[in-house]
Amino acid sequence: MILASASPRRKELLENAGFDLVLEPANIDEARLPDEDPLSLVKRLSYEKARAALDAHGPLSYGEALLAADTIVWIDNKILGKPTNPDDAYRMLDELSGKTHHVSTGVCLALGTQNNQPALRTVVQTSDVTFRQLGEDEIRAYVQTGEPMDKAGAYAIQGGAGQFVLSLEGDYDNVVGLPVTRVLEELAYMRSRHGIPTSITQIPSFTAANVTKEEGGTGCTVIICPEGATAGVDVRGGAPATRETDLLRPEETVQVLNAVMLAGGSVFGIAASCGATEELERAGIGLNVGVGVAPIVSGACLFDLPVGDPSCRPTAADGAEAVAKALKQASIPPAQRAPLERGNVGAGTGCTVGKLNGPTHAMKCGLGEGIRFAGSLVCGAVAAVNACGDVMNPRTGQILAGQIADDGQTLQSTRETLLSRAATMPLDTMQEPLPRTNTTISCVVTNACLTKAEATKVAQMAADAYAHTISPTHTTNDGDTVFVMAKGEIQVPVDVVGALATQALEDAIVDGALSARDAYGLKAACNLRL
Amino acid sequence: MKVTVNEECIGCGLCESTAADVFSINDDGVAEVIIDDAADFEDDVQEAIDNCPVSAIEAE
Repeated sequence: MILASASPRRKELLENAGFDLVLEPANIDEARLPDEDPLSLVKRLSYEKARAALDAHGPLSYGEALLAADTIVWIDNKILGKPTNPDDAYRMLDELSGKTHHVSTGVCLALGTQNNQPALRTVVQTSDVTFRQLGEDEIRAYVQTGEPMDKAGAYAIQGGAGQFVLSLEGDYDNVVGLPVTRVLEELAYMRSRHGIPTSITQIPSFTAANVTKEEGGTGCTVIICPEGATAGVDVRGGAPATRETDLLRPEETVQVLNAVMLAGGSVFGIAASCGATEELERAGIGLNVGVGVAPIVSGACLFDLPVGDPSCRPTAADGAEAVAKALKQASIPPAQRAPLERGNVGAGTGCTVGKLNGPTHAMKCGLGEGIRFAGSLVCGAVAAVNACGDVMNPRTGQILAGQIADDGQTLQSTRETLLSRAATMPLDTMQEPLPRTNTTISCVVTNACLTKAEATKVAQMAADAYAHTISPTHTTNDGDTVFVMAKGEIQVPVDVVGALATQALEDAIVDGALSARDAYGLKAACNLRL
Repeated sequence: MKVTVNEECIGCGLCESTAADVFSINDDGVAEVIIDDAADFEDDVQEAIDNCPVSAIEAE
């Protein structure tokens, strides 16, 4: 996304939400018009910043987004901007003391569509913050830290002023500088309105569905291409449970793949892919083999037996149900299909990460999705993240979900733990996690026109997404697998598809960590983020 | 579909950017509707109504 803002807080908020940012701040005259209503002001200013950035940038490509925002702190009809000097900061904080004020952020989003002009949407989000009574000395002390000087309203809720806050009504991120949840909602709305896929379910020729067994702590996710896609696979790490991956080798005869089944249940979960095959046969989908059709289904399983009920696994019936759901979706026009559910669903139901120190120090992870555009090339990715290591933000390296330290609150880098153990313990007493109990399995779909060899290459490139988002990765205990399905007319160099697929898969893995919710006695990332 | 811009308009240009087939900023610096029947652009007009900072656009 293009961020037309110089605010480091907005940058951080968006990066933590998984956005790859290009910074193109815009400068405009931010003067308030006479008698201008505060909400009108932020709406207008956010648009004018976006307009200036768009004029400087040029046309947006299909699916490309640009964001500009303006935040004001206001009380009654008075607007408090950034303080001009320490005395000004003191005055502002004194004015806010013991009262309720409003923080309003105007957000203007621009989205590249098939037309010349980008779609535009401008919204305002308001949060109400109440400060307790502040003493003269404590205001002075806070001003002296220097923190108030570049902040609207002369305070940072995420900094030293947090303890001034008696109550907050509304979104917290909005007070920091950007209502991220709202931004995500509005972007999804805009994409949906302009026929830009927001989910793998909306990419023409493909769709996907989950079957979730919540009590059992497992499930399966199927990605189908009824017309048959050109496919490739990259299998890394210590022997995951897989099906029909030999068939995907470029030199093997069969040229099409009808479905990829991602499932829990380890060695038992392969049954789901058998059920999927039978359901596809019932729908008449597959290779014509004279006596009927032979649906071509590949897949991989992850080990989630310890989560929930170990005797509960994805069955053939579950696989058939997933395909039936997906086929029902396929009969609806792509733009109208519901997006794929993510988190503790499908193959992500029983997923966990950060297992080096055993299940008591692990965190809940789940099924995630990502979608990226480059011109008219689209790459969507789905990942069920069940790694031994930690999931991290690929740009900052910050751990999002992984091993929890003994205090039950802070995250402790798995890689650091692994290496420091080698430094402090005799190597032959080091305990290793149980073998083949970890895996991240994923599937990339694209509208690029690829050969099997090219699809295989894309899978190899996209597999690097694991290295960008999981640490450590491809350990002897991870059985990672990446599938690629290609169905479309877009002719682009393989390297372009590989690069875009990598980004989409990074997004999907991070999304798997951020979409998960607390379950089975394990904490999820969303509840550790403050 | 009849679309009008009232006197609240501050000429910021958001409607023109949102629905260039329907709105244009005129020489007086305020928005005006440049089309008699906006029925083909109903969605864009609604977007412009939502976007307008001063709620100056009405449609029936």
